[in-house]
Amino acid sequence: MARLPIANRIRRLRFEAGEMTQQELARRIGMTRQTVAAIEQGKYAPSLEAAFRIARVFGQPLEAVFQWVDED
Amino acid sequence: MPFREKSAWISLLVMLGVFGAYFGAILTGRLPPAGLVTFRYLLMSVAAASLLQVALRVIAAMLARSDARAPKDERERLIELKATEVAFYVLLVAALGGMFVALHTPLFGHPPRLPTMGLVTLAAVILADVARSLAIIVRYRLGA
Repeated sequence: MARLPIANRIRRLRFEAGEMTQQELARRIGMTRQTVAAIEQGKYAPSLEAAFRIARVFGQPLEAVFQWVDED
Repeated sequence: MPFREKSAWISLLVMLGVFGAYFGAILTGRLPPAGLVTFRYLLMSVAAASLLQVALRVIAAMLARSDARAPKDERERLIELKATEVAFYVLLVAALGGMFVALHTPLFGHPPRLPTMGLVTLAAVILADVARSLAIIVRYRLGA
């Protein structure tokens, strides 16, 4: 499966939020732990709404959590 | 393993086991391709598949209560949608392919009888369901 051109800092932000677990983040954004893991590993690109929810949990703007990675 | 992946495994194994045995019996000549006995076996197979799926899903849900109770999120809905798309094409190809083979080859007798055409259609539906379960499992395995 092709890698998505979107990078994220969720792992880092969870660490900075006192080692927040994937389960806790999943609970706060209304998703499953497996979906949070897939987003974190860059295997799944969340919807805009989910991306904003994640950013709000960490109190960060969207672009501080997700970044577009040029493919070339 | 997420509850919904387990659920897809249950569906896959039950459908393959129950309807594999049913169509296997017809293809090996242990059951005639048409008739009351075959129809009775079909009803028994449908009942067995339904009961087995419900029973196994209840057990799986009891082993992972919170996972089973949680509503589907957007990724899980997308996985199911994409798997349903795969199943649609499998159904289309299997049903039309099966009809073509039945109508244009002597494989199922010439001309094919109505119950035989019904069996071909049923096989296409079972194949589509198996394809759907497989597509769900593959997507969960890939983590996508």
